[in-house]
Order: sequence, then structure tokens, then C-alpha cells
Amino acid sequence: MYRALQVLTDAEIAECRRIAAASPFVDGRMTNPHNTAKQNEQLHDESGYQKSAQLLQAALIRNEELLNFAFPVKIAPPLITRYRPAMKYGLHTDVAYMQLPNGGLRSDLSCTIFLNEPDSYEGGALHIRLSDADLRFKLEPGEAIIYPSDTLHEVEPVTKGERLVAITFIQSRVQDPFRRNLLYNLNEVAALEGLTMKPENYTMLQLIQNQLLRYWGDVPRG
Amino acid sequence: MYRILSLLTEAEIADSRRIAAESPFVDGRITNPHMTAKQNEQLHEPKAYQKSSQLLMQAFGRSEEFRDFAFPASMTPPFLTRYRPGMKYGLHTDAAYLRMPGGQIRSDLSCTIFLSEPESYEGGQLHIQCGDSDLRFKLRPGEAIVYPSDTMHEVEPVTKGERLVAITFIQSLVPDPFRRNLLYNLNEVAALEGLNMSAENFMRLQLIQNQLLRYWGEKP
Repeated sequence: MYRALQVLTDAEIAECRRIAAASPFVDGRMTNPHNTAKQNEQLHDESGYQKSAQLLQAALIRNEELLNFAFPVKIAPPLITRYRPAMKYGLHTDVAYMQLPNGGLRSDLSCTIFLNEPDSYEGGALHIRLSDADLRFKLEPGEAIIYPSDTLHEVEPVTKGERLVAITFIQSRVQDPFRRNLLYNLNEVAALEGLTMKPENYTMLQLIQNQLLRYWGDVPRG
Repeated sequence: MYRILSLLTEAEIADSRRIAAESPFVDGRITNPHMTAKQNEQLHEPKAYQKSSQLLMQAFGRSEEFRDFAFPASMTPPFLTRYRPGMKYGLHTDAAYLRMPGGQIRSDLSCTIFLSEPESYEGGQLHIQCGDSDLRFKLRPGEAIVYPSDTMHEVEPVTKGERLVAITFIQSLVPDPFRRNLLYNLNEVAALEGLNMSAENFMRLQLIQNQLLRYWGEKP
């Protein structure tokens, strides 16, 4: 499942752009030295990174749609990344496990938060391959696309302007996408229809929601 | 989960009793020679067995409640069993696999269909042990109790009168009891509330019902 969510306010978009404009970037290969497909630049400034990651993480965590859809238990600190003309990130998959300052994370869902106006640059669509079908995302500033980490995907070459995004990875309480999506849909139906049901039927439905979450949810650590 | 079904019509109860009254019964150990706990009698006459099991199978076939609750894939032909004073079926569990005319069946659910008036005999309750608590069933004629085959259970001694029942075993499309009961409850909520929902929410719920049944259901 793919979900596009408005996650940032105008002020937060402006702040991210300001941080990006004021901070040094380095070759993206720094964190993936052996990935020749990667040709982009990453923010590389201790305080700029900390400030932007904090702001973006807070924005994701307060987004109810995201909590409902992703069942996040961990969200990697989002990293601001930019693509200037001729840059791209060729076809790849995201790694299963990544090291974070406060422990490891299993990447179940990947997320790109768009920060620039889509008509301010050419190319640069996030292209997700579904075997013989294709999805392309080039969203409005402040919008995020959340997609399964196990897809083959690429950032198409930017030919003009600058593509500024932040990327992050989410570990879900419900790893299996079939189960996660089913539970999300069930919870949505319950939220939308529960209060018009007879109380005993709604109680039964809530029992089922909790049974499935217990049955399918990862054990919390610590 | 335990479910009481209202299964038989008056005519079917009368027919079953008539068949039982007219037919010879044998020691129940004939089908479980090594089961010393079993002290009852079974109908043992091919024609009468065929007639009564057919009649009872038809009753199950038309019971929507049974289908909704049990997700039956196959079941053994029910057979008539009786307990006279001094008879009982001591604490036991039902076998996981049973042979039947058309092949084998895995018994996920067990079922007793009561045929005698409960006041016409003393004792003879179906007693199911649930750890430190107990369930007892002694139902009206035509009613059936469907219960998990993996419980410890017994038929308590009959001290007076005659306890006439039919018993059968059911293989479910959804053998896991957690999953089967959850799916049953979800389907019930959908049936009761679906038409009050907005069309798209009901559709979404139906998608979920079918997804879970496909995900958990065994090959028929």
C-alpha cells in the first residue's frame, strides 16, 4: 500500500529549506560507499542535521494518519537529501536493517518527504517498480509518500532545478504488509462506523481489533 | 467457543426416535475396542444408520448458524448413541483423525445432538472440563452443542431413564480456534451492521472478511 500524507506545516517547510540552504552537503556515497547507483548529496552538519531531524520526526509522530497506517515503533531520524542536475539514485532496494544512534531498526516502510515545489525542478520523480507496472511520485512540498521498503525503486535523474527531500525509514509493529494493511482497514471501518453501531456489536468489533493486534504485533522491547 | 444450535424439527426428532426404537444397538466399544471409559450403545444396523444419518446431515446442511460458526469442510455421518442406567462415557478426548466411508476426517469440532426430553432421564450430562472450571450440557430434544474436539469431556452416568443422542465430528475450513472464532465474530458484526454502514465502508469490511478467509482457510 502507498499512502501520500500532508505532514509538514508551511513554517516547517520553510525551516527545512532554510537549514538546507545554510548547511554543507556531501556526496551521498558517504553512507553507502559501495552503492554506485547513488548519485546525490546529503546534509552533513551536526547541528543542521539534528535540528531538521528533530523537526521532521516530530511532524511524523503527530500525524494520526501515519500512526494508523504504519503502526510505527521506530522512525529513523529523517535525513535531508538533494539532487541537482544530472544527479539520480538508480534502481535499488533499501536495506533490511540499519544502525541508528539509539540501536537498530528494521526498515519495513520507507518514506520520502518532499520539500520543493514540483514545478521548480525537472525529472526527479520517485519511481517504484511493480514488476510490469510503475508508480511515480513527485509530490507537493510538505507531503510524504510512505511505501514498502522491499520494492525496487529509483529517483529519476534531475535535469533542471533542485530536488530537495528528506528520507526516513519506519519499523512497524506489524511487519507483514498483508496483516498491517488489513488491520489498518479494519481500524478505519471501526473508526468510521463504530459509533453508529449497536454498542454490543461495536464492543465485539473492538475485541476483534485488539485480538488481531495482539496476534500480529511485535513484542515491545525493553 | 461453545454453540448451541436449534437443529431438528419435531418430525425429525420423532423420526430419529422411531428409528432408534426399531433398530438393534450394540456395545459402543465396537468402534473403540481399547477405550475402557466408553460404556454406551450404538445403533448398528446399516439401513437404519443410513436413514438416520442422512436425516441428521440434512438438518446440518440447512442450518445457517452451523455453517457460520463451524466453517465445515466435511463431517462424519452422525450416528445414534444411547445410554441406559449404569452407562456413561468417562473422561476422554476425541481422536484427532477419524476414518469414515469417504476417507479420513480431522476432527476439529465435536457435536452432540440431543433427542430425549431432559426430564425423561437422570444424569447423562455432557461435562466438559475447562481447567479448573466445568461446563455441563443437557439440552432439549433437537438441540445440538458444538464444542472443540480437543477438550477433556465425559458423559456423566445415567441413573434412570434413557439418554438418546446422535454424535458427529466436523472438520473445519479454519482449524485454528482463535482464527475461526474471530472470523465468525467479524462475519456476525458485518451481517448485523453492514447495511447501516456507508456503502464504501461495508465494501471495505467485506474485503477484510474475504481476505481473512482466504488467508486462514484450508483448501476444501
